[in-house]
Amino acid sequence: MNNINFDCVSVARASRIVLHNISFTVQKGECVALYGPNGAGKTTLLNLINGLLFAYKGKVSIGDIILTPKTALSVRLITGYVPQNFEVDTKIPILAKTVVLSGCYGKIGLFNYPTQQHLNKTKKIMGLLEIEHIFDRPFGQISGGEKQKTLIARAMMQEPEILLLDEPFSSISESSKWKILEIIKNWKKEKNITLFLVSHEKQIIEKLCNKIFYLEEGTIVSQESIDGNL
Amino acid sequence: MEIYNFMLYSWAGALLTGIACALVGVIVVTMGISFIGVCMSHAAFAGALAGIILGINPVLCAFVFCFIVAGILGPISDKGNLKPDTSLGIIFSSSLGLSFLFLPLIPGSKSEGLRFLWGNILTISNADLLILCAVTIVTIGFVIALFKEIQILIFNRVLAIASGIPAKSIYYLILFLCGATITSSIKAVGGLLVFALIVNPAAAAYQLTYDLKKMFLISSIFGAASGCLGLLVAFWLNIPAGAPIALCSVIIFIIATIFSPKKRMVYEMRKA
Repeated sequence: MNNINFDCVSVARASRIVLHNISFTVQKGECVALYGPNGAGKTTLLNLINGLLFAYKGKVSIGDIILTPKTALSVRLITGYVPQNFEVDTKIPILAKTVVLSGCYGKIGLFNYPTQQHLNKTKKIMGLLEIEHIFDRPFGQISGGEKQKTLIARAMMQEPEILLLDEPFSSISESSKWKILEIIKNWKKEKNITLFLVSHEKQIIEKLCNKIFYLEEGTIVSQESIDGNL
Repeated sequence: MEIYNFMLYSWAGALLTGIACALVGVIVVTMGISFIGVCMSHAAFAGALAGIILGINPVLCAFVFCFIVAGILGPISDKGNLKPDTSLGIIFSSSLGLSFLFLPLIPGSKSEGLRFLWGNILTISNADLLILCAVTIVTIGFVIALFKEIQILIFNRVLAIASGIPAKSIYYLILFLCGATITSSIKAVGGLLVFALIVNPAAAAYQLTYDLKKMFLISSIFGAASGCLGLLVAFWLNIPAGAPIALCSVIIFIIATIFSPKKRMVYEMRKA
């Protein structure tokens, strides 16, 4: 249903072309890894899918929706996003549970409040990712790994149809990493989510993805399918 | 009876100004855009002076100037071509330049113009109080109705946008609300000192809690306390109320910082 289609897409930032003439189609339920050196345009490509950025040339479509500033809101509601290098003020007045809960704020809609059911679901997801002990802890006070797990839990709370993960395991310990990877893999399979993963770790990519896009200087230089997964 | 009314108006003015400014303050302080308060207050002052020169209601003119500044600040910060402090600095210096330009153009005595710079809560009228009351109610309503959106916007604007929240519209509303709060408070505490009531109670509350709901509540209490204590000192020493109100808010901030549990937690975390 929600195939993602890039048609000759180019993006410029600060007068520099960061993505050039990108074209591909990803079917619903596929899992694509974006692999390449720093500055290759991986994060920019993710930001085009959830409408945080827009192409100056070409078009991006999600199912029947062509992404424009006017249509982006409806796409964002079905797209979960875990950003990389997430830093906040250590004193910020927000608790870890609120960060997870905020994943469903877009779907709840304006002027509505989260219910006890939402809170129960928050607890359940945090339990699944083994971060229930930080439920009432200030987000600024938890470790880097716990922050990343909280942001993954936040994306799961959103119940997205498309999931964008930008270096989601960079601060998570080795033992936790594989557990969470397994959780994401099962969850993805169960809900038939389309997934994009930016990672420099080939092992993770091979475990989770069925396709790799190699990016270099803003273009997809090659694509590869991985068998045996999903 | 008249003395009773003037006293009542002053107390109500101090209380409402304290609450409205403190609520808006929580949003701008936690979003790291507190300099907006300075920008808006000077725009309001320039607007009030323009109103006096043109013979239009100065408060109405101050509202218009603040809304223009809010309308300019929003798109500038969205485009991201300039850093927020740079764009705020440019708008601040423009407002200040306009104020200095308008002040000598006021015919006759400049005291009416300067009244908007220093403020005088003792001269607050029934109409001023009604405006202040309306703005305070709108501010409280805004915070209650959009609490969850404000919460995520404070946390991270990009994540707020990414999760399908109309973050841009809410951000613009915050700017307009900030302008409205400052304009309605300018007659009571003045264009220079209103910034103290925006930043200090919120900054004090920031030292005491990790819960945003509690922060709004504590900040309102600190804002109202600053207004009322400042007014009490002003009556006692027979001086204009703006300065003691601002200084009371500073003292509250210092006390909150000294007893801040957050400071201890961060220290313990670093030690560990």
